[in-house]
Amino acid sequence: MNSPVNDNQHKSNTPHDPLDPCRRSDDFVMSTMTVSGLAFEVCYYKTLVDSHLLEVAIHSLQERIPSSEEVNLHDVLSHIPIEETKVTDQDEEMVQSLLQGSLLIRPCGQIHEVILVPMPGKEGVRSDNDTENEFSVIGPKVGFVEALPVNLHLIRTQLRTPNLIIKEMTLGSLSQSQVAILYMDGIAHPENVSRMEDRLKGIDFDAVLDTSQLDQLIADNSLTPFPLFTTTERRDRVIYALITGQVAVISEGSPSFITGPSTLFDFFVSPEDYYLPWALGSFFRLIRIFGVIFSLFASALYVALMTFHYEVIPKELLGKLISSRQNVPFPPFVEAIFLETTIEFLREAGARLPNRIGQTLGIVGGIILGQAAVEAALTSNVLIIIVSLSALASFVTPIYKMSNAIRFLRFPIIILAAIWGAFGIAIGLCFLLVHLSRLKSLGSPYMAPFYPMRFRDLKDSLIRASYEQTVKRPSYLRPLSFIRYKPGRIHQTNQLDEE
Amino acid sequence: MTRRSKGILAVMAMLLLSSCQDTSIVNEISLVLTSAYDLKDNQIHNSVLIGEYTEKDKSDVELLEIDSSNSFDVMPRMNMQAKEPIEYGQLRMMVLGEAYAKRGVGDILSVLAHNTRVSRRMQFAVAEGKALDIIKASIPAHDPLYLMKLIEQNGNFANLPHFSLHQTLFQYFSKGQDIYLPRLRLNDQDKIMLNGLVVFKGEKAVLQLTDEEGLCLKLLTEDAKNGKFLAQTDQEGEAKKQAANTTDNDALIKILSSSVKHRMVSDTPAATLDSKIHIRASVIKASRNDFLLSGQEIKELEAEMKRHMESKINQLIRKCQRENVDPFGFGEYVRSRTHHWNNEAFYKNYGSMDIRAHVELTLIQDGIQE
Repeated sequence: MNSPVNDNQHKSNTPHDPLDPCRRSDDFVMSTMTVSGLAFEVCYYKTLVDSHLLEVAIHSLQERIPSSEEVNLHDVLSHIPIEETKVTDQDEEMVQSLLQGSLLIRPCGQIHEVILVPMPGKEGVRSDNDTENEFSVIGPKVGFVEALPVNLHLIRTQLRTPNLIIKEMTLGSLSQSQVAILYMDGIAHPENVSRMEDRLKGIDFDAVLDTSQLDQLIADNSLTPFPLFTTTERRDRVIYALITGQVAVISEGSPSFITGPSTLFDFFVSPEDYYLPWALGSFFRLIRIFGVIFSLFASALYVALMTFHYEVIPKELLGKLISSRQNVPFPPFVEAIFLETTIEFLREAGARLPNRIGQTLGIVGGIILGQAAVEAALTSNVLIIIVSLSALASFVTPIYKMSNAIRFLRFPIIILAAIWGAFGIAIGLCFLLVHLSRLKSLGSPYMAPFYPMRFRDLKDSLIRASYEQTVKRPSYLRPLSFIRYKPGRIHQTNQLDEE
Repeated sequence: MTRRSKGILAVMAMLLLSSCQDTSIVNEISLVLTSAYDLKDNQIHNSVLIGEYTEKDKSDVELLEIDSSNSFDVMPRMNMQAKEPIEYGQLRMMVLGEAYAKRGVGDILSVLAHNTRVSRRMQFAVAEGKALDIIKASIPAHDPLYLMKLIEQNGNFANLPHFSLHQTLFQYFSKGQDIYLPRLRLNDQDKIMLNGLVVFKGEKAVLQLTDEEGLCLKLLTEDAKNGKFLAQTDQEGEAKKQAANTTDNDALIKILSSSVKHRMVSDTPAATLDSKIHIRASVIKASRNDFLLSGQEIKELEAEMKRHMESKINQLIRKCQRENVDPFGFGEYVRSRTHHWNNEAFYKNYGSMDIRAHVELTLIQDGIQE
């Protein structure tokens, strides 16, 4: 293993003890114990192992090992009542396993064949797994935590089929994080799976702290502000992605999955859409999309109209708009950027502060600052309404990463509007559309089903059609089997009631 | 060249090619909302109402006047009086003085036709007397759009036909129809009120129509939704019969909806036109004792109203034929139906053309009865 940490000084030691690199740390324990006349060395990181399991292992060693002169490690192994215990003679594996939280047992003087007893400690994992960032009123509120086994357990308990395949790999030269790739065999297209695997294998990174880092590292285009993979902490969302044929990835220590290939419209889907009647679900989804469009263009349109296109202002609004701007000393562009930045300050500060203070900040920022800014004639009150509405509208996207991208994109569009007016907004829109059409997520088009046009997939894009309509999986995922369920048998209850 | 440098070049080129337009920030310009043109000692006298929105929820009006020798340079010259640059993008009302309208509106129409900033829904009106007096009389209303609202309101809810700059330009440039515009006058209390229509021949105002004729014109040219007319029902015999128990014999009819359909009966030697007008109307007040009319009475009233409307509309058509003006767009209609339409030939025969208007009237009643 090519470790970036310099360990040259230990290479001169002879005979070479594979555990030498570990001894430098004070939390590494190496003690000798004698059982039935035989001396064993017991080594572990006290910060990594489960103290209860450690006691069990030591205890069973002392109790059960019969006295003998020859030490056979495989005999010893059979007396330890802990799963996945094994014997190894690989130096590298010894250190790695110690770092994963194993207990290492070796007879004194025999340093190249050891027993490894995995007993990773479970401290530090949060026990509360509510969905804190992707809340929904209807539907399960189960989210993921920072422990990989728990997260995989949560997925398995809702997909009880042997076709759910979990592939694990280790990533990060320093963190040695476990990364799991999940997919449904027989549904997910093998190319998507292998592509995801290849990309993850190709990564050389030091410490994987969160799955969203992987998101950026494996993204098809690293220059885009748009998230190319859906990031979610909701179990139902991951399961829905898996059963439609997407591939999900999570890393150790991260509470969120990424799923792909994603399309732009996946980011406007809330699991709630599927729990509400389809008409309501569709309506709310349209509201979200309208919100995003409004959020992108409202402030820019204000700047363009106020600066260049006064002639298209409706006569009813003319007086209101002019009188609200009457004593404002700045051009509309400065005014808009000033307010947009204020909103970003508020959002950023609110996100960093503890919950209760955050609420106070919202009131201070929203009400007092806004009022004062209008009274001091630094901004017009019409713009305050527009900016706060568009900030509000940018938060309607269920995936936080998308709302970040939307808020970021507002600024270049406002600048374009200030330079060229509505013409600039049109240019911005063209750039945006061209960029979106060129984007790919895991090799699949990001703008599907609109570009390329797939009429069948429109049923679950802008709107959420009823379950009779969404029998088939979306075609841009190229699933191996298209049919999700039999369409004719959804409403069996109707026939029963007629009796 | 790499792809990236090509992209940068494209953006730079866009910056240079599009150049920089002067900004016209909405509170740093003088918006002309209403404009008036008069003829004064062979000079054009232009006066404009500029909206002043300095205070919240209040609008005020500033009047500027300028003389010029032609219609083209009044707009730039007006700027010499203004503290902020004058912009015409919000111009929504233009009043033309009587003398100016008689001299010809072609100049101003071609200026407006080439101005892309002016709304195509702008309203026109012709003043009785001087246009300046009319817009001066609208100043106390503190609303620079008072006149526009007056005309739009009457077009939507009363007897006035609908107008817009778009329509007026079409009428002006089309060979098969003539312009007509609403006419404004000051009444005894110095209030502005509508007073019929003015019909143009080419660019010159030639004919005045009354309010009632305006309604007939509206019925003939558009699908009207509103409109009221008072019709005398006193056919001689009936008048005597009813005289004992009625105070007057007028019926107020409110048009609920109307539609018009022209039909060309023949096109040789001169075109013969049939215009069918369907009107659904309700009786607001018929001067009878009963609130509601019985079936027989309603049939009689319908027949009377039909005769009344037909004669009024046909009188209007004859009047326009005599003056050789075509506000109805009959020429445009015939042009759309014939292969080689020639406006000169058409209007040579226009006076003697057989144009017949037929009215079909349905009266609808509601209310309570004993």
